[in-house]
Amino acid sequence: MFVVLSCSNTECRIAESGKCVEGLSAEDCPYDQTIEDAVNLDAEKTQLIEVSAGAGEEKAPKGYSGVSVNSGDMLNISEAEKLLCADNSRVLTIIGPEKAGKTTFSLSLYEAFQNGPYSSLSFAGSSSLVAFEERCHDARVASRRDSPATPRTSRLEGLGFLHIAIRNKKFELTNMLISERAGEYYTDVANSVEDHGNLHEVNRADYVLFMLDGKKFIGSERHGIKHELMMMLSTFVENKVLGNRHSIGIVLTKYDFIAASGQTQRANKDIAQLKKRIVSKFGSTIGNIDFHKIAARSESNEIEQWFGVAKVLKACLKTKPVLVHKQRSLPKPDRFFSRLISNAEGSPT
Amino acid sequence: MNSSNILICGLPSSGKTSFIAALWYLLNEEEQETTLKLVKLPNNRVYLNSLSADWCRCKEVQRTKISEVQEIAMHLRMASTGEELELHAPDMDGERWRELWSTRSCAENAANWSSTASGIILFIHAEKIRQPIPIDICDDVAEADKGGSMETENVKSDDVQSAAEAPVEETEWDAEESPTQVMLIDILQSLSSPPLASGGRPLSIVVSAWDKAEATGLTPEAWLKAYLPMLHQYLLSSGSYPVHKIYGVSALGGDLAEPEELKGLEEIDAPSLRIKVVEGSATHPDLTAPLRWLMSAC
Repeated sequence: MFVVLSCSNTECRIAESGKCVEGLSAEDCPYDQTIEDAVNLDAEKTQLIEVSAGAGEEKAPKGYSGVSVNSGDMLNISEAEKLLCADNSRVLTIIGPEKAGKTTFSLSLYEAFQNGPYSSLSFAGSSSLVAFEERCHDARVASRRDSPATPRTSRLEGLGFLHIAIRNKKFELTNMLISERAGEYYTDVANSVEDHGNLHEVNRADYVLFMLDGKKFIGSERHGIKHELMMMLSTFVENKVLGNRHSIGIVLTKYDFIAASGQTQRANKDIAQLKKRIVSKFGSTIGNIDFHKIAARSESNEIEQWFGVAKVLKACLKTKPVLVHKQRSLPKPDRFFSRLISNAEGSPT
Repeated sequence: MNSSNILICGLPSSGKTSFIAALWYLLNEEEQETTLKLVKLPNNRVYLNSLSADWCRCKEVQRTKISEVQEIAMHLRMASTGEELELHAPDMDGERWRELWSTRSCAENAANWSSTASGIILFIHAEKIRQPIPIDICDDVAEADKGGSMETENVKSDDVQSAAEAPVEETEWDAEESPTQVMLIDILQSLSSPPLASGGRPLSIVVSAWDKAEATGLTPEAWLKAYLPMLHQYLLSSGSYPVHKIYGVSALGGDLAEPEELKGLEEIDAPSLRIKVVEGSATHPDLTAPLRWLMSAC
């Protein structure tokens, strides 16, 4: 089975637009946000569903005819939704061009926990341990590489989620779902080559990160990548992929390179100017805009390992959930009709 | 009479069979005070007798073959209350547990045992910990190693040395080379959710070959926190194993492969004196303690 989020009000297109038809936030919507079968969705969604359904099929055991357990791989949308219904959760969506550091950031969270509690947060489990370990391999001695690397996320993989459960010092549990998608897909959305309507991970996100490649930020491409970011934000806002219920973080990655380059002052000036432009242009349309600098895999002695990563993680955990998922239930009566009935009978239904 | 199905698990060579061998000797010979006593001999005791025979001769206890599952059944009595109970536990090859991680499936008999067990005893060998070593600290570690100043004995010096000597060929990811703590977390996650379980169960963790970890001066829990920090976080934070206890156990008494140590062990008059169990900061020879605690908690 493959499922998507939708509303029990049949006129509501929250699954496509991320917005209640009555203009309410997901939290104020009186209808249950339920998990529905995909069969009623229109043809535009078909491709995504087929890809996801394929990924959602149970993987056969590798040469072992026994009892299968959870694959440990990246979660597809269906698996992610099940987790979102079970416990307190946050969806962290990471957007950026290829090699900007999206996957490296996700892996840095996992690697940090391998050494112990991270910034007063503790590791409480993961349904994607296999996926994390596969991706961490090229940055470890066991790979026999000369220098650490992160495998590229292939476009063929479509949309997936890495899962990590985190417990804070108040013992509150949060299931973090971190999106994984090939960077060039987002570039194509900004160029109108790909349909923005498929960006479910942005619609549903509790926190959206836009990664700016720090290496390029201090090179000849610095104006180009800033322009690409502005175009991406404009596309998302104009097409209502991002709106005032979203919290976003603009993340300057690879800050260790910037620190080692001796161009920190110029980079900081550029970032300050970019911040001003973004807030000026989008401050009234996007709910919250943060700015971060990170070095998820620092290669400099001056910048600590996982620099800035904890701050981003805490910013995400601090966000109010965009949606509170409920288990499938009978739809509540339409508000309008129930008001009509109660007015006619003189008593509430 | 209460019957407890206990699941014994752990990666290969984690000390499961050595523990059973020493336990069987201890229960039969009664050289030391134990909190569990043997009430009567089980009908099928060929396997147990052969294990304890090798153990008391200071011979390497034969590893369980992957094709075999030896079901251990013992009729025991709580020394303090007189309560009698049946202990049932399978002795399965650790490969089955490693394959749970690498193939994402397990044999049906292991799955059946898992789903019916009321408690779990997990073995971790103190000297067989694979740590994740990032490439970017590799040079620092290699330098420190040259100076003989490596603080952790559990970093595989082969990995560090090999990487420092300009690797010839890059390797693909191999699930079986994953960090020990990741494999153990995954096994515990699988054992606390369908299809292998419907929820968490009491968990007894035995850090075996404790004689090798003693020099750290740490309690078993502090050792786990230091050497398997992600596993330690998982135990405290996941909510899947709220009832757990960590023991340090030396069932062999020393390294049988080291001639000097072997000679010392052979000289000991009462073989059970080789056994050491560490609970917190207390040390005693009662190898039944992890089982007794687990059976009480179930």
